[in-house]
Amino acid sequence: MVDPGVVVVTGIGAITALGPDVEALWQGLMAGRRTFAEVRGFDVTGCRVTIAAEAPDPRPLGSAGAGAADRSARTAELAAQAAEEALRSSKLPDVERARMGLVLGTAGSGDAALEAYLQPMQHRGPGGGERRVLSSYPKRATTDRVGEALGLGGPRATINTACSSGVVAILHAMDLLQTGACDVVLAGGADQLTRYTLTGFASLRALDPDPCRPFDRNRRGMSLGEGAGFLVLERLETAVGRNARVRAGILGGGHTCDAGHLTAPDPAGRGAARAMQVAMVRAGIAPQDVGFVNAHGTGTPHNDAAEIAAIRLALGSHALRCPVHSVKASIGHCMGAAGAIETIVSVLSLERGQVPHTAGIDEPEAADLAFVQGEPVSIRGTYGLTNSFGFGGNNATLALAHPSVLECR
Amino acid sequence: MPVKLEPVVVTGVGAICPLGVGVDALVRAIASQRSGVDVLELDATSRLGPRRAGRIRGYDVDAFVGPGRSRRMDRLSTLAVGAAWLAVRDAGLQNVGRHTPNPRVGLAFGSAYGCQSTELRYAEKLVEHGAYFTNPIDFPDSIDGAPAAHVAMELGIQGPSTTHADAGLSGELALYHGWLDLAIGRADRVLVGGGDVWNPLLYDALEPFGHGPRPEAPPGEGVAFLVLERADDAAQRAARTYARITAVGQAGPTCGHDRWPDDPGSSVAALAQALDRAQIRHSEVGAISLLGAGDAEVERLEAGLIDAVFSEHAPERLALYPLTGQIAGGGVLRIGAACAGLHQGLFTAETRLIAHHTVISGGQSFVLLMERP
Repeated sequence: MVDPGVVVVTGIGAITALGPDVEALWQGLMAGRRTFAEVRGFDVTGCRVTIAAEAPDPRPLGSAGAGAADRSARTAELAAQAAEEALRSSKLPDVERARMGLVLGTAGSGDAALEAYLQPMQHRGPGGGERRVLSSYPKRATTDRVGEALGLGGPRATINTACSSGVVAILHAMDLLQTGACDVVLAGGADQLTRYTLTGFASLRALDPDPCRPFDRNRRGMSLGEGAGFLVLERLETAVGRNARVRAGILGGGHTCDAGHLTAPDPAGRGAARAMQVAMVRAGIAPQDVGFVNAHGTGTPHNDAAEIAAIRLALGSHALRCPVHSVKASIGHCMGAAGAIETIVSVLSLERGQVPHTAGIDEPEAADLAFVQGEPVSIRGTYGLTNSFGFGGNNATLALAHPSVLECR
Repeated sequence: MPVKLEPVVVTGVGAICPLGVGVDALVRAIASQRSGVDVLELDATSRLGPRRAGRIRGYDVDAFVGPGRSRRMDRLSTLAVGAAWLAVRDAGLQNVGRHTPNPRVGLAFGSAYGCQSTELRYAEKLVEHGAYFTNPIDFPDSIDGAPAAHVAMELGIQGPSTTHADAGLSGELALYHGWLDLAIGRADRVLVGGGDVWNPLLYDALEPFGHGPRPEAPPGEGVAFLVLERADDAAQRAARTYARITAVGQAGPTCGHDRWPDDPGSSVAALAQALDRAQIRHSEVGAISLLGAGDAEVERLEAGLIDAVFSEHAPERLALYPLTGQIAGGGVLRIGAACAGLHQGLFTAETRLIAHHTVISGGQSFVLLMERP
């Protein structure tokens, strides 16, 4: 018997360094493309690391934003473009937008506006900043700009749990659907690359001066990216009622906190493992049912080691057979957008029966685990996990299913 | 099948604001209508001269945060940790702390602007001196999620942890998020908190966009936490219950986020939705918690709400911001004041139900219903 309250994905949209839409993202990942280059969007003089994966310039939001020149509205522009693609692909009638909820995950939205505000004060002294650019400073402003650009009239929410923001936004959207607060929610994440975040992660010695190599034994750190990813989420009954194409089911989620350190994960991966375990329990699946793990996989020595420990704890013996991959090796760490973009990749993996390989692995950290390297692999099974971990030990995991599974539940 | 949002109870309130430290100080100040807003001399970075604002005084961070740890934390984080501890102690909870972590306790925090001081310090160094001179300690402590992270570490909270950055709705949406965590079953108890601290530079600069305080509405600062539990769990441990949270209603947005709605339609709709979900008539609302703090636009909307809904009876009114100054993320503080007020005689004995109302520019409105237990 199908549970009509199951949350399903009926639309997806993304913009990343691999290109302006979902198909460019998928084709680039399948080809193992790496998109890291010298940052062009702002002056990187004095930065310890100067490479990143920059997205193509998004369509401007018109008068709603400050414009492309000072980049202060870029996060909203990236988000709106990805969200528009998701809405188009869902084929929801425009009239539904008036009641549609919007949940945005973002980590650094507003940083560019703050820098742009402070720059003139160098010359003009205190109080000489350009207040106009601060209209993009509050993170809520990004959410509102996206909502207004797309004509969305339902409740909005903005979530910042750092690098897990995208998945936590999806979890919150699921809650709104499952309690009947909304019938359709557009959920996702967006973040632009800024000097603030590039220098911030570099100051923590978290960045690799060369392109990152997640799960490689000789990895040296992350590479940053930017972009946006959005999913249209509905209850199964609503989607079926309008003959929507169901792309995947999100059967469950786990959300935990290490509560141990502001930046470093628990090296034993216990909190992350619990997030994965709770996601599987809520989805009603066992470890051996998991067809792949779309890992957080940043490429830092500590994060990857902790995630490997978590995968072993959560999947047990199945960890030795379950394909594990990281898309950050191709598009970098897109911060608040990462979890949403990676969930979209998981949807595509389930749809197309394949998991992209992780570029940059020469010698895997744990040779006994099934890291996908060299070329994509076919999935065995109809379920997948997407992991997303953030500062403060924030751990979030989604359990997704191929639509065919929903007929049997 | 749909998950029902069962009522939850508030068993602890922790508050730090211009009216004092702790829930008793808060309620006493409200009862006597003592204002915490005073004239402050601002530094040279402000466009305005001396102005009125509500500032927190008398908060001893060392009483709540371990030695040495507070030095690295943004002021908002130190206040969040203090308010969280106050709420936990007020709830009579034992075995809480970094050495007794609990994976079934969750956390949701809301702040409109987050760790502004640290963020500003990091950005100023970056702009003035370049990338090489930024402080690596400042970067992680500048992120919006830092207060929640510090609260989780200090109190051993290993369940779900979320931060909302939703302007004047940040606290309310954090509370709603925590309530959802309880309903879905991710946690058995949730600490929900919210607040903002006043940074003159940014508040003044944000004023033209409707985010900062209006000159006629003094800014304030404050942080509060509530302990939310299922009623059965609270009863099982014989907890004192301040209030029962029964329903939420949301409506809007109705216009661009850079302006206020022309009419109170979204506020009326949010209240109607909450009352409908609780199966309660508007005549049963004994009191309403309002924003109004001298802001003409907000007062117009709230007056319109009352005229539209309460023309036949006049509920008691509670407005905290005239006493504390406007606190962007102050929703949890306002809700805490209302809950504690129900318990400690701020309202008449006949008042059994309070409606908490918030509206932000753009018109997204939020109403929460609280009942005397």
